[in-house]
This record gives sequence, structure tokens and C-alpha cells, in this order.
Amino acid sequence: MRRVVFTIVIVAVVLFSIGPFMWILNTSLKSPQTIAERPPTIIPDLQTEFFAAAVDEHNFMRYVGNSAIVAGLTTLLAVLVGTLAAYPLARLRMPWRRGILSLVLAASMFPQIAIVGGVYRLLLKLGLLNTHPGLVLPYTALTLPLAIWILTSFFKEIPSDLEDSARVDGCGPLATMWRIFVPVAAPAVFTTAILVFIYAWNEFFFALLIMTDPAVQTLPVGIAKFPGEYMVPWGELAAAAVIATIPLVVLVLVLQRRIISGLTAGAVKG
Amino acid sequence: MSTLELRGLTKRFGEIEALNAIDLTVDQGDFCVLLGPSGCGKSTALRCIAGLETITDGDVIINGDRVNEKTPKERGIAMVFQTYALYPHMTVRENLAFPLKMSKMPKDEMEKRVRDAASLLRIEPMLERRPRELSGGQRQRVAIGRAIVREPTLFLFDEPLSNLDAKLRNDMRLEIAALHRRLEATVIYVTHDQVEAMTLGKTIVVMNDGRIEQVGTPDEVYQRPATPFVAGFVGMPAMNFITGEIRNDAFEGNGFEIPVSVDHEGETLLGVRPEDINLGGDHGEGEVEIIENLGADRYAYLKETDTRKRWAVRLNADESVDVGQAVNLSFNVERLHLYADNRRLDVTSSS
Ligand SMILES: Nc1ncnc2c1ncn2[C@@H]1O[C@H](COP(=O)(O)OP(=O)(O)OP(=O)(O)O)[C@@H](O)[C@H]1O
Ligand SMILES: [Mg+2]
Repeated sequence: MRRVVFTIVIVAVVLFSIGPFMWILNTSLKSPQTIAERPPTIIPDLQTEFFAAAVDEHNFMRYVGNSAIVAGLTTLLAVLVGTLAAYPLARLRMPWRRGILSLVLAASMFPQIAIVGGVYRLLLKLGLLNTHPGLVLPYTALTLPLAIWILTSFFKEIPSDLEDSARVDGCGPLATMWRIFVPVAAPAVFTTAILVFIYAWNEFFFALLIMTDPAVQTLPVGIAKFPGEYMVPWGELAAAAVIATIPLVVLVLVLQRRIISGLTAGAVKG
Repeated sequence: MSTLELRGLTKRFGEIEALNAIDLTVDQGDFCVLLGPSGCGKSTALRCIAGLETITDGDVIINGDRVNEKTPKERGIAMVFQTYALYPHMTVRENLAFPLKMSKMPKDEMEKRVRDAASLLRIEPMLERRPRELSGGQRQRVAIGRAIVREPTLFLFDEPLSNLDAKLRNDMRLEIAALHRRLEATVIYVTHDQVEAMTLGKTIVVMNDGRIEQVGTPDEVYQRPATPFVAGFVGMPAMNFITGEIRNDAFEGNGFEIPVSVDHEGETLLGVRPEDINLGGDHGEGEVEIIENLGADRYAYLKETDTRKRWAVRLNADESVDVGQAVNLSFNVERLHLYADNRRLDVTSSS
């Protein structure tokens, strides 16, 4: 009985979260003729016309490229700087560690709308509006607190005995880093990377304000511009949304084993 | 030749003085236990010997070489950590081989040593597993195995058994003792568990607050504790203490007098172990508060009615008391411990 209830609940939750996406996927695979049918058909006729249209008519691949560059660079930068900040925060005995961490967290609590004016003027003065770094920098700043927090708490879970043991076993600082710490910390780093990447990939508000030149605009802004003055191209929109989602799905699927495989399972008492 | 020598070893963390001028000599083949309460500097001492901590002052000498500036690897030591510190991303085999791989040992020699260690510790069937697929005791064995493969001059253990449950701890303790006999290795073993210290140690070093209180065999430490701290720390339940004075060759305190012959006059601390107290007599009295039955032994805890002083007394097999009962006590006067100025007084004879 409990199993049945459990299964029903799981199915309901999955349907609830995945439903809208399935609908979009369904729409994107229809042809211009079936899309307007009332009532809508459940089984699409598996046409790729909308995908072709999105790519050809809306310069779609350029947006994908821009997003990949911006999200990729943001992830690289945030994870790199975050790791360098989190390691000492997790390892050193510092008097103000809690204070520093709280400050970092507080910094992430400002709503975007509260800082956008300052950011805009800053980028204007630096001449970075409508450039990739113009988005990468604020994204990195916005995601760093999260990255530092996640990484610090993960790193703290990794016993420093592991590193000491490596030193006793004959590793220098670099070998300790590469042979022991990096492999053990990899799941934490991947988890953080995914979260940062998803944020940067989806971000709309800053992207809309900072990137006014279509040549450098990212996916969310690009898709938002699809609707014309007199009509909404539902099919192309759906196709674009599907293409925009696929990289994230692939990313999570590829890395999920590394994320879930228990962080330090077996290293310590357990 | 001594395997390890510490000369004036001092370690400060900022304001905290974790080790204060430690002097210690450990002979080849010794099983030396560092025993002391939490925070007394046992781990710090071990880490200074291992080279994981830079030392503030003094010298660490291993096999006659001053190793202060040497890396852990160059010191020829192996260490087993309280948390085992197995590498979670490597199999048991890779864990065992790791220190050998780092010292660029030829493959066949490496495999031979891993095989030998695995069979010695009975972990051969688990060589391809990861640490997370092992039980606590098995992990502990792998951690010891990783120390053995290097054939070090000195084994360092930092509370290796404290994460195991009581039964397993007993088994592993016996195994470590057997292993030590077989390998004829020199071991420094940190613990705050006196049972471990008494059963494993050939030499016990009792530490307190960054200093060494006493170095001796388990018997010496138990029978002739050098300081009041050692007297109170070693032994369960703890020794009973009475403050008093020595005058005219007699100890006076708590309303009684015991003739003693020592080279001292004035304020004195008298210690007596629970097993050296008998029912009846006039050295103390009290009301039984709790009786603890440990199976082999029974202990009574008493409280004196007027002074509120507490006593722990081991009951002899033929003695029986009830909670609430008032009893008198007498001491086994040949087995008293006397201290003045934090120092043990030698009893020359007693009547
Ligand atoms: N890295 C450090 N920085 C500052 N103080 C430290 C550091 N390591 C140890 N200490 C301090 O040094 C003292 C001795 O610590 P140590 O870890 O050697 O104690 P211990 O005897 O091993 O205790 P336990 O039985 O709890 O492990 C303690 O007061 C501790 O707070
Ligand atoms: Mg310790």
C-alpha cells in the first residue's frame, strides 16, 4: 500500500515538473499545419520545420554561441576563483572565518534590480557594454558567493587527514593537490560548476540590459525577441526552447554520476 | 641506539603553547604510548615527529639524524590516522601501493609488498574494493597495511581505535599487539584510553598540558605515579586524595593519623586507590551513594556526611553494603601515595 502511494506521488511530481517541457517538445515537433489544430493533437507529426526555421530565420545559432561563451567563461572563472577562496576558508584557522562567510552570503542577497544601475554605469565607463566580458564579469560576481559557500562546506567535509596522509606517503604540495585533493573534491567542483552554468545560461535580466547589440545577445534574450509585432511564432519558440534546454540536460546527465557518488564515502569512519 | 629522540621539543600556535620542552628517548623495538587528556598535545607531538607540523624550538632526532628540516617522506616514518584517511577514489590495492608508487619502487617489488601486507592483515579478498565498501575494522586494517608496506623505521599511530565500537576495539588492540611483536617495529601510539595504554604499551608517557609528567612501564605508572596528575589520571575509578600535613613522621588529615617515614615535613597530598581501601577502621567514613557492579569488580561510591568528601572503594568479594548504609574505611597503609610540591615522596618504611 505504501509502495503504491509512494509511486503515485513520485509520478505526480515528475509529471508536474517535466510536463511543461514535454508540451514544448511536442509543439516543437509539429508542422505549421497541425500546430493550430483545435483541439491540439497529443501525438506530434514529427516535423523539424520549426527547428530549421528557428535556426535559419532567427539567427538562432549565434545566440547559442554567445550563451555558450558567456556561460562557459563564467563557470570557469567562478569555479576557479571560488575554489581558491574556499580552500583556505575551509582549511585555515582564521579568527574571522564565520564573519567572512556571512559577508559573502550577505553580498549575494541583494536583488539584481538593486545593483543593476551601478553595474551598468561601471560597464559603460569600462567600455564593456555589448561585449562578452561585460556579462561574464557581473555573472561571476553574482555566482561567486554561492560557489564559495558550496565549495567551502564541501571542502570542510574532506578531512585534512587525507592531505596529511598524502604528505606522509611522499607527496609534495602539488602531488597532494593533483593526486588526492582534486579527485576527492571533483564532485563538489562539478556540482558547483553545473549550478553556476545553469544560472549563467538562463540569466535574462542583466543580459537584456547589457547586451543591446543582437550580435552578442544570449539565448534567453534572443528567444524573447522571436515574437514579431503581429504574430507569435509558437512553433519556432518551442523549437528554440528545446534547443536551449538540451545542453543543460546533457550536462547534468553526463555529470550526475560524479555528483551523486558520495563525496568522501569511505575515506573516514562513515 | 635510540630510534627516536626529542630534545626540548616545543610547539607554539600563536599564544597557545601546545608542547613545552619535551624530552623523550624511544628505543628500537619499543611500543611507546603517549597518554593524556584531550588537548594535552599528544597529536601535536606526533605531528611534529612526522614532520606535518613545523617545530618552534628543540630537535627531533630519528636514527641519529636531526630531521627538523626534513619532509615527512624523508624521515622514514609511517602514520595511521584516527580517521584512517584512506583515499576514497582508490581501491584498497591502490591505497596500499600509493606510498610505494610515490617512492618510485619497481613494479614487482611493489606488488610483492602489497600482497604480503594484505595477507598479514587478512584483507586479500578486498583488494579490489573501494574504502566505502569496507567495514570500520577493515578500513582500519587497510590503514595499518598502508603504513606497513613502506617498512618504516618508526610507526606513528594517532588514536587509531577510537572510531571503532568496543568489541572491535578489543580485537584490533590484540591484533596491533601481535603485529608489533611480529614486525619488531618501533611504535609511537597516541591514545587517551588508559586500557589501551596499559595493555599495549611497553613504555607509557603520560602527558598533561604540553608537558611530560612521567615516563615508565605500565606497572611503574600505575604502582608509582610520579605526580598527583598521573596518580589521578591513571586508574579507573580514579585514586582518592586527602590533603593533610606530615609532622613528626605521621600524616595527619581527615581526622586520623598514619605513621609514615618520609623525608618531608608540612603540607602533603595523600592518595589511595579504591582497591587499597577496606571496610571498617577509622581512616574515613561515609554513606554509600551508588554501587557499581562491573561483573568482575564492584565499586561503592561514598559521601562523608559532614565534609561532603567523596570516596571510591572497591569491594572485596566477601564485602557487601547497601545504598544509604554508613560505613567506616581503612587504608592499606603499605600502598599509600604521598605527594608534596607536585612530586612523589619516597616512603622509606612504614609501620
Ligand atoms: N593548528 C592548530 N592551531 C592552533 N592551535 C592548535 C592547532 N593544533 C592544535 N592546537 C592546540 O594545541 C593543543 C594541543 O592539541 P592536540 O591536538 O595536540 O591535543 P591532543 O592531546 O591530541 O588532544 P585530543 O585527545 O583531543 O586529540 C590544543 O590546545 C589545541 O587547541
Ligand atoms: Mg589528538
